[in-house]
Amino acid sequence: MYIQVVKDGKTEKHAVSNIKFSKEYDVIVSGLGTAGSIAALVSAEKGLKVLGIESFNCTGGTTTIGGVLSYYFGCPGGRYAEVDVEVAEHQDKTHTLNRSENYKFVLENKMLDAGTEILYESSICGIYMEDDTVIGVKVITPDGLVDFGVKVLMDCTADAYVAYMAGCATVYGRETDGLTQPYTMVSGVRTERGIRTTNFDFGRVDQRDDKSLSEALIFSRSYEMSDEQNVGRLMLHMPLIGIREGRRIVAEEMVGLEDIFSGKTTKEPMFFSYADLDKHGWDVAFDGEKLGDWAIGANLGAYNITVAVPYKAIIPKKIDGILVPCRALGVDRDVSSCVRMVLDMKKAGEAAANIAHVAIKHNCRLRDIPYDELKTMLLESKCLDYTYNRGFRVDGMYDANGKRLPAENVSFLSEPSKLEEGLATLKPGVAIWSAKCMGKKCIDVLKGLLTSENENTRKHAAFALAIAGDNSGAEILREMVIERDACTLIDCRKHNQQRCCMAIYFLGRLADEEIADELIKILTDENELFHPIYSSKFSSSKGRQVEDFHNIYFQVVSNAVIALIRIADAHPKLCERVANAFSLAFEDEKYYEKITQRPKKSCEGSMVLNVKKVAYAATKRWENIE
Amino acid sequence: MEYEVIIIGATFAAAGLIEKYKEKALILERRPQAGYEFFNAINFGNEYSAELKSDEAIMLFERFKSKNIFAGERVCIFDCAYDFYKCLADKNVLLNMEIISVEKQKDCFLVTAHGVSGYRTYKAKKVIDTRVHKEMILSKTLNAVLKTSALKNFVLPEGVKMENWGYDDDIVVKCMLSAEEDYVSARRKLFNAFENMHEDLKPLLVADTFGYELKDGYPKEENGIYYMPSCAYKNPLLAFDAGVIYASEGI
Repeated sequence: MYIQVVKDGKTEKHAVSNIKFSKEYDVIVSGLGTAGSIAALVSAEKGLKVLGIESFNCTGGTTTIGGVLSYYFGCPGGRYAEVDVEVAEHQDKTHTLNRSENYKFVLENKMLDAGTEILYESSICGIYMEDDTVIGVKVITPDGLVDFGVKVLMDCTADAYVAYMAGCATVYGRETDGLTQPYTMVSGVRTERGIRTTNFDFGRVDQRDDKSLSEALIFSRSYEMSDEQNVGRLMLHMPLIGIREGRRIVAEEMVGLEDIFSGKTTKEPMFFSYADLDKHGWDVAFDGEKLGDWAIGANLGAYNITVAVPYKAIIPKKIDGILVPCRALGVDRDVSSCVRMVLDMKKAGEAAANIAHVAIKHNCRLRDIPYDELKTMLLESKCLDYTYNRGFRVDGMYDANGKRLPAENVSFLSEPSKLEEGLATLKPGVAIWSAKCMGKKCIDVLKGLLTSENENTRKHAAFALAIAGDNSGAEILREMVIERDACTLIDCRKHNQQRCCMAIYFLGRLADEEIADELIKILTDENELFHPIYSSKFSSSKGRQVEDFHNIYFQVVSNAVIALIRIADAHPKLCERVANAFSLAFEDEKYYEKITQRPKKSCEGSMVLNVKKVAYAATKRWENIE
Repeated sequence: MEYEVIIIGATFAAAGLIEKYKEKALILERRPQAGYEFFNAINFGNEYSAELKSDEAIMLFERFKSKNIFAGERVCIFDCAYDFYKCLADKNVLLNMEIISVEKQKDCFLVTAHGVSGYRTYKAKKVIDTRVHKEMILSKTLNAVLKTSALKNFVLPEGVKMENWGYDDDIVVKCMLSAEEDYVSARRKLFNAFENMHEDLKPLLVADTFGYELKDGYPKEENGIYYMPSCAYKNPLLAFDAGVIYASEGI
């Protein structure tokens, strides 16, 4: 037997003997937040002996002390839905007008009534293991350190901290720069009617690092909103900040964005996730080509996708006795921006309780449970409901009068001859993506459209060719960059792309040497901001305009940097010229001031600083190659 | 890692201490918040006319005043949260750090804490603890903000007392608790008190940490550790002031 701990950020293993656990549990849930509270409740309702460990002093996490009071997409159904009904009923007679307080109260009572034992203001600081199986935990409680034995440990810490402690393999951040999505802080302001929550995205935080996390917590609460943003008297800062991304486990079964796009789906789902790839940062240029093709190249970033989440996505590879039903589950970085919503986490918690129940009943390893038995339970509670396996959809759109439009299913085209119709409009996304799916078979048709008299058709055909891997439309793409084509497409409800940025993106993808000088001009010409594009409106949504942040210029600059890196990587003779351009463009703070006046630690400020970091990292890499 | 002073608890008193100790000190706090003993406890304090001794506290008072938080005897300190957190920016402050042990060595203290980066051990010549410990507590309260605009005359439920401060149409009430009661018990008590009351007699906001009444005898030094529970002071500015003064003069 040994104990695994984390010290100064790294895991350590120490042999132990004669450990006497003060109590034994079937299930211990670490973190009674969105997922953990449902996991503990359902586990106890199934007759398991459950201990819930929560570092704060209440249940609900993000849904209570994080201030997230509504659901962003997701699929309905499951145990949470019944709890929600009880919360709504309780609201009428409750002691408070505050919904999160009410939710906290109902959930806590339900858990206690079901037999869950709760340890507040406590957290796990060591994992006892026998070979590769978790058998117990060391817990810091207000009364000191205590050791508990456990059959199934559930890591609902959101960041897979407990799994990491146990030695599970984890991954972190995006490929380009290692960063995660921006975090949010929710405040409450007093209005005439009550307390209104306001949420703002701040910068990046590395939640694995105590210094970074502390700085984020302090910065977000010291950042004073302008009068315009902060209407009303400040009443509270939510105790939890909304961190969207951290560690992700390497799971028994993983889901990647490529799987979604290629239609490859798990045979053993535990629930369906449904949302857009809601990555929050504006720096989509740095998100890599898989997401870039979708969000920039085809302008489909706000289209919703359905993800069948396998039950084995919450089972870490090689380690038994632990489940990770939280946003750290086994999906790739792109998919994690979708499979992280409140409903997904509640369903993951419910599924985890069922997995634990089946494994304990059969006395088998978590990865070896009979799936059919799990499936029956999940279907019965509607946690898993095949009705919601709905593929791609346009959802969340509103008409001009503010009325929400019904969601529409999206079918991609399979016939090249059908592409022209879509490409001719300002909603060419489906046609462009269809060209990617069709590949070679649509090239000739698209080439024919390059001479179309319809400007949209001609330009969008160049995008479609590029996404299909053909550079026949490069000349048109270059023209769009040179003229700084300000036309904004309208496929999505938010984050719509301007053609100039799409063209820059594709020329980078095609490693087009000829555009390099123009891209350098974008970064270094002092008169760049006089182009009319920079006076245009970014995206189609008014709500997406950010004060003190020149988003259009940021989009053009960030795309130009990535494009230049791709071009120079493919044409090493250009490395020095591009490196010099980066040096000239980013040597002082002028570029920062041209884009934003916000603090460097703010969401926008951190993104602008990161442009320089990414550019300089490429320069360094090129120097090392030389 | 070595510091002159380890301050336990990211309280107003701690903010006053680190204002003076600067980079020589490190604050360790188990919660993800700071100043919670006043802000999150909805403990707005009183006796704001009491004299402040340090320039730093007077400056903080001026900043608070510029936010228009004082309306006669009625105070709402939430609007000053930004200013308070600004005091902690760029200082050595680690939140979410659970204190595992404080060991007295021959000429120093070893403080072991556990946070998101796992165990960390810090060495310091001096330890100042600004938290509340069980043995200090006389009684507790769970405080709440009550909207009272629609009611001219009302009677508060049993076990709930009104504070003599608040803001605009809101008042602050205290659900009285014994020293032993935990959060589960406190929430139930508050629920029972306000169950089925008139809609305008229901809290808009409930504190996420207890308010405390402490036994006499603090601050005090024991086994080389200086205990100065921040919530023992009448208001956050006095706690901050006490921190600055102690760090400057050792009193």
